[in-house]
Amino acid sequence: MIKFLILVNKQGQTRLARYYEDRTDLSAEERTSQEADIVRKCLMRGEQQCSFLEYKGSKIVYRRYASLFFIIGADEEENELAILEFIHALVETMDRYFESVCELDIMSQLDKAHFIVDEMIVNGCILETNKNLALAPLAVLDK
Amino acid sequence: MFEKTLSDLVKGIRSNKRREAEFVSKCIAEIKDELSSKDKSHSIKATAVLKLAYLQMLGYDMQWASFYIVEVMSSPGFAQKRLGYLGASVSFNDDTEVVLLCTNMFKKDFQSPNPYEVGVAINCLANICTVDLARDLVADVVSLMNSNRAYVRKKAVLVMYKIFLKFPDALRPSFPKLKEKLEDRDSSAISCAVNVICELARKNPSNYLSLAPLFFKLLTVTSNNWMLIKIVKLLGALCPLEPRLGKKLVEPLTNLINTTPAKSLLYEAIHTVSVGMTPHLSIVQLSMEKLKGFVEDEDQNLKYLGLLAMGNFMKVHPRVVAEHKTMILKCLNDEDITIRHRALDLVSGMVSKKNLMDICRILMDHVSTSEGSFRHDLVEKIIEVCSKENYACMTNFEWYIATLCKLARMPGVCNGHHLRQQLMDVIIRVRAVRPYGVKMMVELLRDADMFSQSSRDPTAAEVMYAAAWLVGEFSHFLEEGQHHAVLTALLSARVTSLPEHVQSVYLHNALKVYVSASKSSGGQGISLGEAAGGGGGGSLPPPRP
Repeated sequence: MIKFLILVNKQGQTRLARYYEDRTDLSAEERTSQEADIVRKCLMRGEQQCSFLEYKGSKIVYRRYASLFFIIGADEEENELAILEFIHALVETMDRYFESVCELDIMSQLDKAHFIVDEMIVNGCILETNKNLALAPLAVLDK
Repeated sequence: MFEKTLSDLVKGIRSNKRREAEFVSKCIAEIKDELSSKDKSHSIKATAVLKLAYLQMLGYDMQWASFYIVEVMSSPGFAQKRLGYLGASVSFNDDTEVVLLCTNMFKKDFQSPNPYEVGVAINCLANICTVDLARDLVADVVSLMNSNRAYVRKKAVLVMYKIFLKFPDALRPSFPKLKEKLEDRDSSAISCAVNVICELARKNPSNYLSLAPLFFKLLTVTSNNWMLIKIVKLLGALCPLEPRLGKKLVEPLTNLINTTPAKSLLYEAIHTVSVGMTPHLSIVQLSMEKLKGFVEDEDQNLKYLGLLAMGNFMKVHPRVVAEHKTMILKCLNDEDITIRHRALDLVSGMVSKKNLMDICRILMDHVSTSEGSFRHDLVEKIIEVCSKENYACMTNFEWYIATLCKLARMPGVCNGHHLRQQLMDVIIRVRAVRPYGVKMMVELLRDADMFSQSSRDPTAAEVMYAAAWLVGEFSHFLEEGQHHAVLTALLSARVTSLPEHVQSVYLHNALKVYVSASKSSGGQGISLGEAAGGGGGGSLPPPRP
């Protein structure tokens, strides 16, 4: 099961955060500092190193696209390669919707970004990886 | 009144970088006004909720707004309602009291003719579900699983898992409906049902064993990779419970492993072999061949996963892993520390009587060139492979003692406790090696570098503890003339710079060595005072024979 999905930039600023596990234990502030911590660990690794690490008991799978790190935290059972493929599918979907997505797009249209994610992950499970099917509801509602 | 949109807020924060907190509290005050204003269409309130969601991401709490969020969730317009649900999804938690107000809203929205409205409500429920919501809404969600829109069915199936987590009593009555979804006419709905059952089976595999034939059929029929990954994983969880299942899986999985272009599916299939099908050697061999391909690939991710998966096989088939010894040892040189760690994990499965010394030599080379936690792990690994199963692979204890002493001498080694324990264990239990052991301990005691290292580093001092203790205990192996030198080392004034427990061992054993010396020199005493460098106190008379 996917525990969380976060998009963080190199400076540690979170641009999108979605948590699928119960999160009563962390306040908003604690959560943002945890997100910055995770991105720092990703930054410490070079381009040539593998995209997996461990953080507080979760498997972290990440990939960097331009200035943003797409980071997914999952439990022991998840298949790392499948998650990497999913991240790629998510990026392609966002790219299609925002027409060559950049960080500012995600910030100023946060709601749309969330809706895209909601079409692809529900309750920590991957629901849809096909770009067209994921974007169909958004297209209908944008009219 | 000019209300900021999200875009305005974002731009505003960027241009107020140095006074962010001040600017944000101004915005929050504006948002509070917007939320409590009269706004029939709710558009202003909806935008306010969106802005709060953005601010929450930056670390500003929005729990205080939960009541207003519920208000926006009940908006007549879908665009506004959607934003309300979004605000709830990112901020509500088990402690949010107003969640109770949402039950009827969910029920109403589940009945909406607009499937996207239903979808948004289901999504939100998946995020905020509490025990009460689960109990009150389970019947509604179950009937949504039979909606005529596949879009709704898929989401309903996935949210059932959350409901089961919060309200386990719902599982038994609803399970038959869930099972029906495995034969839904839409393949994504089937995929979601497989997903949910996979999660359930992890906790309680025996309850789902009866579904194995159905999954078997799906395995051979479907071409959707995501579903295949879950099915393969699920069957792997069931194999340990039913050996015949493992046997039946050999053919389809072999086929899959040989033909699929998707690396993620290949990896999952190999993982399943490693956890559930290990008695079937042919497929184990095939999997190891594929893993070898992973480890030799340039892609670091594949390398890492290859080594990780080999670790699973190692527990059951260490020989098979040992065939790839050279490749694994090469990975100890990799730039990426996570890969080095995985390779090190595999070393324990590879050692045998024949190669123990060679492998340790390679590990020692790495110890001298690495640092930090990896160095610590390397030393632990050397000790582990040498001592495992009561020294099963050890053929030459003298070599081992020499190796331990070499490790002790390396500056910055922090495994002192373990080294001490090993030295004592070996020299006490292996009689034949005692004379050699004592000789090496004397060298350690007299080594000035070792001494200065121990006074700086308390864990290095642990090794000196062992040296002193062993020399005292087995002082009958000391050669003629060595006693004096040993006593000098044990009683020198500099000893006071060592940790206290080490000092007391030094003193205690100095006495033992003295007694042994007096016995062996046949009455010609050595003066303790002399040995202590003449510092303080007179000399003790030799004991009368």
